[in-house]
Amino acid sequence: MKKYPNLTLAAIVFVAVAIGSIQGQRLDRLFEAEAFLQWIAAAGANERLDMDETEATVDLALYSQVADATESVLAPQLADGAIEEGHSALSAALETGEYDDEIYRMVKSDELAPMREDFLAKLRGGELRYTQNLSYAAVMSGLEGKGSVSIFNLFFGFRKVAANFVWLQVDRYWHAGLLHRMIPLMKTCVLLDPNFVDAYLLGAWHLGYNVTANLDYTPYPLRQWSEKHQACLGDQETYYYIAVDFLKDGIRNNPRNYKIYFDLGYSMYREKLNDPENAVKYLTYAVRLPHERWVPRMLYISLEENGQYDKALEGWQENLTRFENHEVSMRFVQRLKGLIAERSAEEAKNAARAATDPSEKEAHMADYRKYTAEALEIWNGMSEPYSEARKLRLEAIARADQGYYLEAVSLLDKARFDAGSLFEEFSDLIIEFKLVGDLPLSVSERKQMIREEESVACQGMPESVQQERLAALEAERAVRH
Amino acid sequence: MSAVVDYFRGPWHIAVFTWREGIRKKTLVGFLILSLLVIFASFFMSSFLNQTTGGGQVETEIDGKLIKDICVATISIFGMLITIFISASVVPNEVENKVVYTVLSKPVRRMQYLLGKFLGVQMIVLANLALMTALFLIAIYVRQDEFPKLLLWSALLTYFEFLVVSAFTFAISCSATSAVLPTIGGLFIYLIGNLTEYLKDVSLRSDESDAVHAIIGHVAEALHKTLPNLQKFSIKTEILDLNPGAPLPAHVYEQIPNLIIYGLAYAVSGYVIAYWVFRRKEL
Repeated sequence: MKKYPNLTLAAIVFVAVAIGSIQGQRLDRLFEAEAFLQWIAAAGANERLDMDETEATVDLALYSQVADATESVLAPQLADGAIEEGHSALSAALETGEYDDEIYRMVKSDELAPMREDFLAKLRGGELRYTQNLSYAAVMSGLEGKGSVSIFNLFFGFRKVAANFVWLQVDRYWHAGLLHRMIPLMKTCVLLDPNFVDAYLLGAWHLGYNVTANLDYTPYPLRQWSEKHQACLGDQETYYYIAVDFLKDGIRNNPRNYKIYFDLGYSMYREKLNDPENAVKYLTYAVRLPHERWVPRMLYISLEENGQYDKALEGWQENLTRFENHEVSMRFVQRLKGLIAERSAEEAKNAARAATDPSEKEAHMADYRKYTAEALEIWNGMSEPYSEARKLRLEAIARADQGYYLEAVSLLDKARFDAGSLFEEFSDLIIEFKLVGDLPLSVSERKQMIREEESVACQGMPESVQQERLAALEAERAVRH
Repeated sequence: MSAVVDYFRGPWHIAVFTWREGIRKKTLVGFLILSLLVIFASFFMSSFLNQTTGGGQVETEIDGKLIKDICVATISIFGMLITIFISASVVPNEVENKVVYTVLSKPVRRMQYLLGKFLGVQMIVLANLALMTALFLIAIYVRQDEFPKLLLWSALLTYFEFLVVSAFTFAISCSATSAVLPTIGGLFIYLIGNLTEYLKDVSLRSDESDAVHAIIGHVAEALHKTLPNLQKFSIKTEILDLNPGAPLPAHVYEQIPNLIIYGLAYAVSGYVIAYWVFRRKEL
């Protein structure tokens, strides 16, 4: 130092910069591994929820390679039945945080190095669908022509603050009624901050509820077939599905936040798209994650609407063990017992109709009477408009069985106005009785029949789908009659 | 052992003196008050969003997020300004006031003097950061009724980002006679530190078939690899999105010590450059 001070100091600076440089490159590798992990979590959520994306073929192909490579390590660690059929052990392991450290270790390992390199090349080439946000910007350098680095650096690490200010602008547009301007800004907002969960929730709420509030119902012949969603889209439905896609993106970026699953399942699929099957699917995942106490109740309601009475009953009973004397749970338990008895009665009646052997027929009829009495007893034990309406329904069915269709229809007509939640179900039953009893249909009932017939086709729908839906409608009507 | 203690006694006294002098600076106090005001004002930012939720019909956590993001940004911006101003001024001010001559006429080596000054700067930076973080913690605790322990990790990383900028600004200040040039230099260091990624883009876009382009590309690549990249510290904001109740994920645990070493390495190089410049200074 004393002899060659400049040289010594230069050497110290050189060593320190070299350490910094090596550390910088080490950090780059760590950020790359993190980005790979983040993408795997998004693709894993996609697989777990079967959110098939036609635009994400490159992602799916790469994910499948990663899933195959990790299968042998993860599968033995998972509990029996944890891996759903057709899914990988990786997507099952990603559901909770339990295997995160193990997955991260594998993500960094040499075995996955070729896939990691492939991921980075595809990410930088802009080929991957699930990496279209700025949380990948730290490893995106070199993305040709996309300028991701410049956008990222523009915010000096404050892109989350920028996302907040973009959201304030979305709010202003909402109050100014400029709904069409909100959508690109909402997408910009989550592009800047993919973990902005409330932006997904409120954005989907605006799209699904507020934007569509002033839009008219589109008759089926005027709707357009959407290959991506396998549905006929009118004005309202187009926005519903934009909201659905927005929330699905939210799930990929935040796979462990129950709120997005809940909004997708309950607010969109149940409330707007009348799709209880998908509602149950997403609410089931919401319940598996840390959630608020009311979330499972919405799942049980959706299970009931999807016809899964036994599972719904199981859920309400479990709820009752957790919250003793919970009045709503007690009411739903009774209600589901009644519905299960009614369904058993219906099955017994259908079996009796199909039976050719008189003794077998009589046995089924005995079951029918037993289940009907059971249902009646349950409804008698409850005192609310719903149970009263169900009782009237049982009475109407009994009248119809005796051939008194007009009386049956008048009973159902009263019942459907007493319990609003049963209006649609009872209206369908009225049409059914009128058709069987050869009674004239009202104008609205005729319109309902026409709407049903029209709903099998829309513009651009493939012939095969049309035939399939027509056959399903005919089969449904045959069962009714 | 006593030799080591003796060696550091001088720098420690200088550091304490620098700290006392620093906290009296009106500019710094002004920045600190401003930052505290912004952190306090973040409470009211959410009132802009009251209407989004339809008059409270929809329950959201946007206001909590707003407070978090604005506070982190405020701490970073004002903390960085405080760091630059203090690092840029401690040595030039003493040269200007001729205090440095009195100090160096005592049995204090230049290395010790500079170490004391640098330590004093870090004490001021740390105290400011601690104050702002404490207010932020209180803001979050009042709003969400939970102790945001992840914020402590975020504050730690923020400090190491400040340390890198502080060291290089300090190095510039050792060659200057007034605080103006080092302050501008410090701001440039912060800007360049955040734009280092551009160099990688330049190197990737350079045309290898053209000699000039190829040279520019190689220089850009070398600079990208050697210059400190402050964007690497941006995980300080990502950390806040993690679940506060769960342990830190493995990848974050691995990144934090590496970032600290990264920050320390560049801070050491900045400090040694400062000494290199200062030891040749004619005083």
